Amino acid sequence: MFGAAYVGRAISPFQPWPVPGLSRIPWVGPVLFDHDPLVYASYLLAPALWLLLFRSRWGLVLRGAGERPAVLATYGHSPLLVRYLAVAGGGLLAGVGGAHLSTAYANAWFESMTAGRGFIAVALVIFAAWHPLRAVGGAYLFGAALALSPALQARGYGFNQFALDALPYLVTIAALVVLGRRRTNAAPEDLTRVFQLTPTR
Amino acid sequence: MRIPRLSAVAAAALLLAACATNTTEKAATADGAPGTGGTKIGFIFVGPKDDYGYNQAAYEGSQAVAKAYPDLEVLTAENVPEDDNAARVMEGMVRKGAKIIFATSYGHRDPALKVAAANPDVVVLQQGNIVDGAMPPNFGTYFGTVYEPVYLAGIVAGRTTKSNKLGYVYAFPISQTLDNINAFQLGAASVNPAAKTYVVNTSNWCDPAKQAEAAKSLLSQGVDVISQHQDCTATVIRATEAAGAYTVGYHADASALAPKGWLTGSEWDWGPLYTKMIQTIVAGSFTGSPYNANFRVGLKTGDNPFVQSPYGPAVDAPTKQLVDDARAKISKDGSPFLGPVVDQAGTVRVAAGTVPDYRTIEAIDYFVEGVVGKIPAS
Repeated sequence: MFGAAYVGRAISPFQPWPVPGLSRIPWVGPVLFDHDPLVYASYLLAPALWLLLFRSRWGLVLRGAGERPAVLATYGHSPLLVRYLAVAGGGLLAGVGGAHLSTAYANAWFESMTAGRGFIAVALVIFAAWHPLRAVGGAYLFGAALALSPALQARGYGFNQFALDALPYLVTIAALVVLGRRRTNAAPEDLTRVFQLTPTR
Repeated sequence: MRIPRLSAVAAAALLLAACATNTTEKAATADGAPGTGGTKIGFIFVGPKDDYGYNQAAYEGSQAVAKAYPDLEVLTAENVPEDDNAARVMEGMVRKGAKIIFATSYGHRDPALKVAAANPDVVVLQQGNIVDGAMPPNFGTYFGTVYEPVYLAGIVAGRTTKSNKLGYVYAFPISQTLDNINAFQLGAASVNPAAKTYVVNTSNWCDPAKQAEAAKSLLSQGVDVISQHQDCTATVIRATEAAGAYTVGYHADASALAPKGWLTGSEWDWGPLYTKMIQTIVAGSFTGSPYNANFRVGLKTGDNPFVQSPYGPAVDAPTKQLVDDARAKISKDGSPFLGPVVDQAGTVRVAAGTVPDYRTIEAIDYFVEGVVGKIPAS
């Protein structure tokens, strides 16, 4: 299959690049400014995407393709084209996120290395209510839940390991239960119609 | 130790009877001894065959078998889960003509026993686990004495550390893992009484994201030598090397991933043992042989398939001498767990001068003194 030749092969991963000056700030420095370039890119990308989606004409068109494609078509845009472009762009970013796992974080690739965390990624989208800044907050919340267990263990604390390992999933379920009770559905309105099998107007 | 031929014949006769009640076809093809008359040998692995670890080592063993037995076809299956899927995969191999199956992961034991029970003419060998009570005549478990080279590597770690903090990333608190951690700590403490081993578990044999997090957590605590008991090892090694700390490898020689920090490690050399076992099986003398049991082999008894990895550049000559001395001592004593062994609470678990047998060692449920961390409650 495609890519099989790359399995287990040593790669030259992204190296951590401490931001000169900023990384020396006590506490804040190591937390925020001692990472690989892809992490810094995420600092910039989330606000940039927010600007693009909510403060630019391009974003209006994109959101229109999800909410009211009929209006968009009236203005001479193709909702289908915009949607495909958005999916391609979103897929690209998701791919970069996945690549971060193997090329910058774990520095190796193994089959099934995501270890079922795709479930958390899906929950994150719902948690973030299709909003890039909330997605950042959610990602850090889930990330902290994942990192808690090794951090506690390395300091010699004994907790129920299996309870700690379940934590990210408990957070996921809790987030979905709490957010699921919101009255307004955050999903773009016309996207819900896809599931009702009515043709896009 | 050879079991008299008579009992083998008796067992074979029993088997024939068992076959007869099962299917006549099976009884017709087997000449009585399980594992004979096959055209293929099956190997199942819980992970990918190129994980720089446990599965790669087992896979390389299977390839050594293929070389030693060119007329037998070696079937391999990767990523076989430790549940009923494993039984299905093995049954598939049996249908293709395999009369010998190696189930190479700890958790493959129960499906392997199931396949052995359903196919009395097939020898199923399970790597790493043990069977309590009566051993089926066509079944056996086998393993090297894993903790011996780990103890030796612990000596190197104890001599190398400057912070006196060693790190150990492990998957699950099973006895095999606890043995390794204990041996590592005992080895380190034998040359450096101040050395302590900090442990983190990942609850997964190969979860690189967890491993990265574990390595990071340990390094941030000032740990400067890290070892691990994981199936895939590259992530922890790379994180350790990037932080300028030292690596003690496991499962395979991964010194290429840590050119500066590689100290030594433990790695598998399964080929010779696999080949010897197959020799016994195809000769028709498996039942009643030492392999038809919980077979364990160590430095004292000879061919330990778990050997020490080559040294890295950071290891000095006096350290190597200490390791050689310790190896000689284990070859004489029979175990790095020669008493007294004291647990974290200060209780003596192995009395002074006693060498625990493998059943005791493979049932260990405690950390020795000097290990920092608790065994997770289940």
